Amino acid sequence: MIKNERQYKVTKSQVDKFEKALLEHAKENGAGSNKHPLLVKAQKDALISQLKDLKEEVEEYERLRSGEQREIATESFDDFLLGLIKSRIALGYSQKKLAEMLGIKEQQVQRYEATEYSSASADRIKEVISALGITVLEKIILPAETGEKLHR
Amino acid sequence: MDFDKMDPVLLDFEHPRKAQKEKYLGELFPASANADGFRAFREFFQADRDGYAKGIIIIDLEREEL
Repeated sequence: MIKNERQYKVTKSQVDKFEKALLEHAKENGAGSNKHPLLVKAQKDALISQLKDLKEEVEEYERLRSGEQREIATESFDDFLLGLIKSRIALGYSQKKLAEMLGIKEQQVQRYEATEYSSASADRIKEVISALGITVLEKIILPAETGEKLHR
Repeated sequence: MDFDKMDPVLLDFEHPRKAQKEKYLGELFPASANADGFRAFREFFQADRDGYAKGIIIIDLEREEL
């Protein structure tokens, strides 16, 4: 997932390179190519596949950054942690701005986000939620078989 | 290289290479498509998300005893 403008620029430039490579591949492997057709197809598919991954990341970041999204669906706790990063981007706050709001260094926010907040304490996560001004609605579903032993 | 003997899974790049990852716990990219393709893959794998250089290793399959 792209988390800041720097990563966005790096990924965009990678998209350009893969697009160029794909165009070149089509040119080189037109009629008269003596390469094995399976190799030609694999090379093309590999480029397309990588390009698709990169484009999806770029599109997700652009969609978030546009600020049009007002809700972020989370279906798991990991999703929720990722959602903290998505919320920051959707609200138009940079990592630096969030760091300022929390009174910590920008590098610390970058570290939290690089690990999808797995290195942050519960207290810190509460502070992030409060700084962003977001509302989190989480549902906890208990396992189907409840622990008999606990219900004495 | 005999492509007809190759496991078709390694040529399947759909669902971003899910079948490859499940069977081999990794992905195979034929990066030698052309000069630009080689450069694109090499630069992609040799940089982290922030664009900083990252190391990769080369295993010479013709030289290594596997």
